[in-house]
Amino acid sequence: MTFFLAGIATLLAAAVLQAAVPRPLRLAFFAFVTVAGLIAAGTGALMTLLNGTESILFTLPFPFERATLELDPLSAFFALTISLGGIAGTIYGVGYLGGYPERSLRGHLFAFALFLVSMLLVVTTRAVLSFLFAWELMSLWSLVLLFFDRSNDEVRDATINYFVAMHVAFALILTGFLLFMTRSGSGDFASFSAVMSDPSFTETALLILFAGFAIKAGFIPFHSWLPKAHPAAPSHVSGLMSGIMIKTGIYGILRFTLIVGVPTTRFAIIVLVVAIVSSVVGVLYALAQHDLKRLLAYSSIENIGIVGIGIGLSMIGMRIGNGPLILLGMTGALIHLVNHSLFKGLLFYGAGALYRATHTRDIDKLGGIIGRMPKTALLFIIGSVAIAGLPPLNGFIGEFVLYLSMLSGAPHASGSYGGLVVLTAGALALTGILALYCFTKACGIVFLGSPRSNAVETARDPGGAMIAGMTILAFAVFVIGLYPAPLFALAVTVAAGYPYPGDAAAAAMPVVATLGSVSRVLLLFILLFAFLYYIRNRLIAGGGGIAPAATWGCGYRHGTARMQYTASSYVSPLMTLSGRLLGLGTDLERPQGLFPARTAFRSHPHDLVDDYLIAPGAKLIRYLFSLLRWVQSGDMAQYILYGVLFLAAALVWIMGGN
Amino acid sequence: MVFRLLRARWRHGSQAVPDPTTAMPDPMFRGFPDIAKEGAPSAEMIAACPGAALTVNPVAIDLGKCHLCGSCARAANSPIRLTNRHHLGQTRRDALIVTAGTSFEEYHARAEKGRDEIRRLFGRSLKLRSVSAAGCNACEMELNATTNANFDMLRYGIDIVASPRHADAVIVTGPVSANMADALEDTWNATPAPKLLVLMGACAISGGLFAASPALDRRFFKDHAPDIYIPGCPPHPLTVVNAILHYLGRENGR
Amino acid sequence: MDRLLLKNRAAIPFDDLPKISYQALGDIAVGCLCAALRPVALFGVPEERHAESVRIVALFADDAQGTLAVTSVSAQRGATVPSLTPSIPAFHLFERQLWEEFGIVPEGHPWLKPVRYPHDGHPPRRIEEGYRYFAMKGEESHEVAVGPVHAGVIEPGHFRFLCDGERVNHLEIQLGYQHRGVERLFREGPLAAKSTLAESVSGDAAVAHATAYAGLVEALGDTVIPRRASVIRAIGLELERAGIHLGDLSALCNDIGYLPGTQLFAVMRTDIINTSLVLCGSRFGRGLLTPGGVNYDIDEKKKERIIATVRRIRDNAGLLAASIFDNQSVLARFEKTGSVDTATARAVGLVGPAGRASGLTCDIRLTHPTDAYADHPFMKTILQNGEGKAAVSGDVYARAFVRHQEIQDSLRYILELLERLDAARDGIIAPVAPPRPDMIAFSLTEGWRGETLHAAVTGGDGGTRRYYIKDASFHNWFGLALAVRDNGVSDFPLCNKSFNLSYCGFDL
Repeated sequence: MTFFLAGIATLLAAAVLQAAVPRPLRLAFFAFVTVAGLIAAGTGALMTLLNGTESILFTLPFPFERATLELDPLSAFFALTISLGGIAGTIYGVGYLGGYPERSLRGHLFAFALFLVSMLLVVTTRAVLSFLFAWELMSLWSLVLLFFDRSNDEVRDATINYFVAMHVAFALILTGFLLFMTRSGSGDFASFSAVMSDPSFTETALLILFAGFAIKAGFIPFHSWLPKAHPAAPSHVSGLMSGIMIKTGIYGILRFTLIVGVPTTRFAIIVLVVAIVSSVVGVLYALAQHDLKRLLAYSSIENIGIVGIGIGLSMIGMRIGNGPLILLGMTGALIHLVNHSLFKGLLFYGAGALYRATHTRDIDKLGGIIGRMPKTALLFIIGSVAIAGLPPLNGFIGEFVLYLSMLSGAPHASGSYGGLVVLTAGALALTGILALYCFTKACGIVFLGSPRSNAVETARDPGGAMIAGMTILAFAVFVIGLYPAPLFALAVTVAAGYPYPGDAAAAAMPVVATLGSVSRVLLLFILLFAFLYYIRNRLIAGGGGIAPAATWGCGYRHGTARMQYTASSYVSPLMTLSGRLLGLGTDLERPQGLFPARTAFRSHPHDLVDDYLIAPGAKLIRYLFSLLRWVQSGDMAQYILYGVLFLAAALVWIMGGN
Repeated sequence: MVFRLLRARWRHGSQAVPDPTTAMPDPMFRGFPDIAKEGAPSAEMIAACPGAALTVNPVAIDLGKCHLCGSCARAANSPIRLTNRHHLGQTRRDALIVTAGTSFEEYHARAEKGRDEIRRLFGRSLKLRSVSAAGCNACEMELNATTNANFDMLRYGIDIVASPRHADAVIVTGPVSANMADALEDTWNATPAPKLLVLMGACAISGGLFAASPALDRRFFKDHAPDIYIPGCPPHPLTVVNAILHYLGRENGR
Repeated sequence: MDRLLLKNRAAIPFDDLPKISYQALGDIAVGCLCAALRPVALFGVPEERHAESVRIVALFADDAQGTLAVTSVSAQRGATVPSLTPSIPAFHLFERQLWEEFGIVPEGHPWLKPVRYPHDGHPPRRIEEGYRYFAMKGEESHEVAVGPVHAGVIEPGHFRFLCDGERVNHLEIQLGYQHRGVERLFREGPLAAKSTLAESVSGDAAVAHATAYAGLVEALGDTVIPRRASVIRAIGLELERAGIHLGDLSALCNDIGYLPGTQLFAVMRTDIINTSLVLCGSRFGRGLLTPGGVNYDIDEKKKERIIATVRRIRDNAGLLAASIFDNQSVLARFEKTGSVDTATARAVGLVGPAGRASGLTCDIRLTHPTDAYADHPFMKTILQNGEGKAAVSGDVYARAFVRHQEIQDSLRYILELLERLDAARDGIIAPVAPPRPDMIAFSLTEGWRGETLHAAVTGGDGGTRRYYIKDASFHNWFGLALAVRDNGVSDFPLCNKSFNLSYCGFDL
């Protein structure tokens, strides 16, 4: 705990002191201090995970009065995730911000440090007011970070959308808290367990709370802000928002489930269904995108869905007393959560490097990047392999544990629950294959082939700090993929906090063994691959080497970059099937007549939630407000009348009071 | 329904040529020209020769130019007789010239075999990439026919592939129009070494009927020496198969 | 008198050609729409005395009357004329050709691009130089560019597909790679010695081109060939037709992965073309025809062999076709793939089996018969498909079915002709008179691909001033481009094979 508090203090110091450092040294100073703070905070969290819960009590001025900061395994797990992601994000971000020498960045860095602090506080406070305070700080500072490129309309719209979404979430969470407080009589989270005696009441309150946290996490249909905010934010911020911040929504769900339990089976099924929809629909939406960062944003929704699947399975397990579902569902979710924070950060940072180099996020304007930005390409491809859940990288491990939970849990689940688990496995498999499809599209179109526009011509790898930030993440992606047992052990520590029939630690032992053999197989696989690569090179060297040659173009000498598959064409076979379901619009101007003068094609990836929920909602609100427009007529006489009426009313009130 | 298909299949029996190395085409086939030592071709015969293959001094037919149209052989009192001997492949351009009195056996003995390295590399597996460079589609169809159920060149491990990247040899048909010169060059360059250059048909070997046309561009052959010449207009599939087998040292098919 | 009516294979003095204005030509062309006249050719003939002058000869066919209408327009090289293409699309390639060869600019032409990059163009262009492909707007669509060197053993040509995903929205076909200067070679030396060249115009339709060429030389010299020769020519032509159609049915089956069809039709094709070999020493019928008659007679032994093979193949092909054309998995790929409706087919002037599959009735053997076809009318059985209707749907199915139908018709006609052979014992070759000076002649033949036109203008010295060839592919390539619109990329090979057009016959 001492380390953790020291870390927070260091971060606060970084936020304040950087303003005083001269501009040329400011970024380096900030990076140094912030990383030091995050290392301290992370160390504190890790020690807690290994040694057990610690808490500290503050007495604060009105209205907080008593605030507890507590690092239990759940908090520590998230604090560790935030610290890890934050370190890479800070290093990358400092590199990214190096591209804006004309800006002082004082405000931005201040917000950046406080954003990290607020996230650490969100996962450690234990009372309503301090939690909401930290939560609101997190939203506001991220809002400031998001609004980096102020001249851009898209950024402004996304910021407003984000602002509204965060406050709807805030309202829902507040409502949930108030409901709990009516029964517990206290703002202390621990006291909320009082409601457990009334499952239907708990279910209602928890559902409201779930909706609020789901907005933050980005579950469908609560996700509308996410695909807009992520692309609009500067990439080091998108990486942090997508990699870490949305996980606080997951934290909220896990925290209150830990306190009040899973009230009803229906609640568990709702969570699972929302998660399944998020993962499958999220990845389908991701496939339809041609904005690289929007694609990554929808992919975050998909991955939050996968995490949610684990949580949903675990909740069902708690209701039906199914050990493997509880333990492995929860550990799978937690592992995937950490993994996602790593590879999604890596991918967003890669996308940021691409944007910096080409000034476009449109996949169909890129191409041939691998030759121009080899480091970025390699790192992005590592991230893509990981997110597609392919061995030997970390994405595989999380999904493997989830499958393991379903495979070992389903046989012990009664009829309809068994069926549900099997369906969930199918949905997860579908998500996995579509994610692979999605990221072969992203990597293939962006990195391979030849440039589709002039934007690519001058593209170069970014400087050291950005590459370093990404390399840290890629390294972690490899380490967890090849040596998953420690992360699994940490996740088990968290999962063991949930009710489990029997000895959770003992039940986890065989899985550790399995993961051990998995990592041995993967290592063997890598060695075999390396050996084959070596043999291949030897054979080539023996045969006189490889002579590079141009792509075979059917003997045609006037090839253009248009003669390659585009992102839209690549996914077209799937989109003709699912596009209508998803609201994917296509504009095809067919060639008319024998000698057509014009033909064109464009697709618009719509979001059904935007079209059918948000847009009509906004229209309704606009309509309701328009009903009040007469109040602001601009007529002086009318305003004087308001004054007179107010005075008269005040007079009546005072007189009546007396 | 399926029985009707089976019946249709049954009626055809086996159509494969049992041994393409010994099979002979119908006696009507116009193949190796037998030129008698006595007698000389008339001026009309020379004038009627569409590829200017027939010469008087010395009396000879250049199979690299001859379309085997038979006009000289049909003329009255002709010393020329076209036999149905069809193993016409050669490895040197000058070996294609058949002078008076040359027997088929003498002609055939002139055909050389590939170097040891070529026979070691390609003897069991030779992949051809075809380039039709203004071919009239007769050579192309006969080249396709080498892989059909009748001639089935694949039985020797010789096949036609879709990309020069997969090929060991480029087989050229047609006189090479100027408009195809670049594409031919590109295809050759796209084929990995070591590689063979095979010319199929009189047009490819000499320009044939079109030799005098200003629309051709045959500079490719200045830089690249062909390895196998397969004369004819078009060459019979058996001629193609046997020319390649002979070059690979597999003239018995083994 | 704005036009002259003549019969197929007629020669007239060049000076008798009516001379009208290009606008008047436009009026005739527009009149075509109601008068059942079909544009057959439009080509330039450089005037003998004025190097800068070009006589544009226009040929129309009246299929109902069996006549040809011919007229001409005088123009200067580099002149501008009002384009006829907007009203009669079938003229689009002819006008592009006039522009490419003589620099005559058809004003208002919607698609004025090079045709074949001839070596003697005006001005000469390198291949692909100045060709601007039609392109799709938007970065999300892609283009599939194929050729000139294709994956199979095929002639060269460049295909540009405009696609979104796997759907083809537009196909542009750019040819010219095969240009060998054929028309020029026909002009050099005595016209009567060009049999082998005629057979090489398009080697897969050697007999068709040789027939058109021989008929043209005979018309120019006013030579009458023996009846026996005309019968043997027709046998050669129908053998060629049956052989190619069998090969194409095999290839169509191959493109849909229906292997029994692939192999069995292929071996039947081998049987048929080996019968050509028995007839004339060449599997492609080369060397059979010569101006004045044929080089090879059919004796009793040959006759029996031909009869035996033709009967066998007629039965076997009929049986196999029957089992293919009611196989649902075959029909699923053939039907509604690569459709060209009748109106479009008429507008672009489709000819041959492709035109007939789209519901046109064009067939020179029926409408402008000569020689054997005039003596012994070729009768067409309209085979009916499973639903009791003729196959005129214009899709791959219709084109395949028409091929099947024509195989049966051709083989039956060969047997009929062989019966008449004994009655025609007037030899196989007649002496050929040299071409008369200052004449123009037209010779139309129905090759397996369709209407094949050879035309020539002789000079004052009896030499050849202009030799003009129009292969059936000249119109039909554009039909293929239209057929694949809105089809999958992977259906292109199927559509392509159902047309099976000639590259060298187009590029010349």
